[in-house]
Amino acid sequence: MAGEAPPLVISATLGLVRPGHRVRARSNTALWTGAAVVGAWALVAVFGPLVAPHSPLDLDVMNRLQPPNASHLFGTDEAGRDNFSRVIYGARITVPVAVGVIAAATAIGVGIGAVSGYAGGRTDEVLMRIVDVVLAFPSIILAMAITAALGPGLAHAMLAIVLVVWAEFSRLMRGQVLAAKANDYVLAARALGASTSRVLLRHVLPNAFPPVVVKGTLDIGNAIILTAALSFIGLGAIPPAPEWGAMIAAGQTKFEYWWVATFPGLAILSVVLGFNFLGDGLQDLLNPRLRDA
Amino acid sequence: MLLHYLRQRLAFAGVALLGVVVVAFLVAHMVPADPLAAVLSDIATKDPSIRAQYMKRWGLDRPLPEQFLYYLANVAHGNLGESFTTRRPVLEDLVQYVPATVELSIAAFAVSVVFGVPLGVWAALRHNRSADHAARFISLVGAASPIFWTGLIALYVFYYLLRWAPGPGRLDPHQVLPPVVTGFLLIDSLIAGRVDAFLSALGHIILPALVLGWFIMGLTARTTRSALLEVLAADYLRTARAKGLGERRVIGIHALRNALIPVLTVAGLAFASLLSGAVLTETVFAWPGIGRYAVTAATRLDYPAILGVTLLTGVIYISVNFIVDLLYGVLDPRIRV
Repeated sequence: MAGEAPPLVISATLGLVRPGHRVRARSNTALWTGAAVVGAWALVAVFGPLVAPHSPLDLDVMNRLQPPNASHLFGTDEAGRDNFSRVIYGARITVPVAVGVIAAATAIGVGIGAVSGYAGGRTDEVLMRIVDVVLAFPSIILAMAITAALGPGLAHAMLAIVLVVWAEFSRLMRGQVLAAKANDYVLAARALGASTSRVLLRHVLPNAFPPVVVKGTLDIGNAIILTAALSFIGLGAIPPAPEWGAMIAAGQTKFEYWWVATFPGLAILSVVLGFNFLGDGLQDLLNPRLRDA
Repeated sequence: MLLHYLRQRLAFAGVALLGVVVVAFLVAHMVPADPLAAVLSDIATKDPSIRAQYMKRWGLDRPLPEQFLYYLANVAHGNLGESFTTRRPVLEDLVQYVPATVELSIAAFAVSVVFGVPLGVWAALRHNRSADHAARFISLVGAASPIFWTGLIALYVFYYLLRWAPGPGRLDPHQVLPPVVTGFLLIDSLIAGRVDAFLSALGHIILPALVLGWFIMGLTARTTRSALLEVLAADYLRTARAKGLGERRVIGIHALRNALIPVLTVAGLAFASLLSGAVLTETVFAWPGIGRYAVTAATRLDYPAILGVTLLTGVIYISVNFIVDLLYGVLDPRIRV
C-alpha cells in the first residue's frame, strides 16, 4: 500500500485563500473596491467623448472662471473651458499613459531581473550595481532631470518615468527568480536537459510573477502621480491639454477659484486609490501570508 | 569582523557614488539642444571657428570617456558648473538652499513619527479589527494623494479660508532674515535673539511639514505596525505578561523598544520619499530649498543646476544609507557576518 498513495490534489481555491471567512471577506473588499473604481475610470476613459457635455478645449471667454453650476458641473477655467469635460478627457491621457509606462518598465525590469537572478555571478553583480545607482535618486528628481534634458513634453516625461521605475522591478524579479531557482522542480527540469531559456520561461517565470503583478498594479498609481507631478511642474503635458497635473498647475495661484485645481486632484486621488486597493487586494489573493508580515 | 563589514560597505558606497556621477554625466549628454547655444550669442554659434575654439576650451571635442574623466575631476573638486539662471557656481547655490530643505524634512519626519507611530501601534494592537482597517485606509489615502495638490488644498483651507496659517514662504514678508549661522531659520533666529522671527518661522513651517509628513506617515505607520506585530508574538512578551507587568508597560517599554529599531531604519528608506515629496511641497509653498531650486532649474532648462541637484540628492541618499548600514551593523551583530 505504501507505494500506492493517491496523488495529493490541492484544489485551486485552497492554495489561494486562507481559511477563515474574515480574511477572505476583507481581501475581497479591497480587491472589488479597487476593481470597481479602476473599471469605472476605464469606462470614463473609453466613453469620455460620449459622456462629456462640452469639448475639453473650446474656449468660452464670456463664461470664464464660473463656479460649479448646472451647465458646468465642475465650473470653468480661466479660458472658459468646461472643467468637468476636461477632467473626463484627462482620464484618456492619464490612465493609458500610466499603464503604458508601467508595462514598459515591467518588461525591462523583469527581463533584467530574471537574467540577473538566473545567471548570478559577475552578470548579477554588474546589473544589480546599476539598479542600485538608479534607485539612489529620488524618482521625481531623476525624472525631472531626464525630462528637462530631453525637452518638456508628455512623451519625454513617459520615457523618463520608465527609465526611473524599471529598477525596482529588476530587484524584485531577481529576488523572486533566486527563490524560484532553488526549487526542486527547476533542478528536475534542468536535469532532464531543458535549455536555459525554457527553464526560465516555463518554470521560473510563472512562479516568480505574482509579486510583480502586485507591484505593477500599485506602481500604476505611482506612475499617475509622477506623470501629473511632471506636468504640474511644466515638464509633462503641455497646456491646454486636459492633463490633470497641468490643470492643477493652472489653478494653483487662484484660491478664490478653488474648483479649477480641486476636481482634477480628486480625480487623481480616486484613480490612484483604486489602483492601490486593487494591488492590495491582489496581494491578499496571491499571497495571503504576506498580510501579517 | 566589524572592520571587514565596514570595508565592504565602504566599497559598495564608493561604487554607487561613481555610478551616480556616471548617471549625471549621461543625463547631461542626453541633452539634444546645442550645448553652446546657452553660452554663445546667435551669431557666434554659427561661426565654425568660434565654435571649434569653445569646443576645445571645454573639451567637447574629446572622446566621451575622456570628457567623463574631466567631469569626474571637476565634480571631485566641487566644481559643478555655473547655473544659467543665477549666474553663480551651482555648489554655492546648493549650499545656500540645502538648509531650508533639511529643516523642512526634519519637521516633516517628526510629524510622521508623532502621528504615524501611534497609528501603527493602534493598528497592531487592534490587528484585523476596524481600527486596523482605518489605519490602513489612512495610509492608503496618504500614499494616493498627489502632494502638490494636498499642499494647495491645505493652503486653500488653512490660509485662504480660515486664516489659521501664514502664507507661503519661510518667514512673513516684513520680517528681516536673521544672520545666517546654521541656515536653519528656527535656530538662527534664536541665536540672533529674535523671538518674533522664530515665531514667524515656526508658523510658516507647520503647514508644509504637516503636508509632507502626512505623505510619508503611511510608511511610518505600516512599518511600526508590522514590526510591532512581529514583536508581539515574541516569547519575552509572554514572559513579561506572565510575571504580572501591566499591559501599558509591556507594550510601551518591552514591545515598542524592539519594534522601533526597524522604524528608525525606515528613516533611511523614508529619506528618498521625503526628498521626492519635498521637491513638490517646496514648489507649492514657495519654500526656498533645493526642491524648488531644482524645479525652477528644470523648467528653465538650466542643466548645470538640475544636474547639481540630481548629483547632490544621489550622494546624500548613498551617504544616508551607508550610515544606516553601519548602524545596522552596530545594533545587530548578526548582520556583520
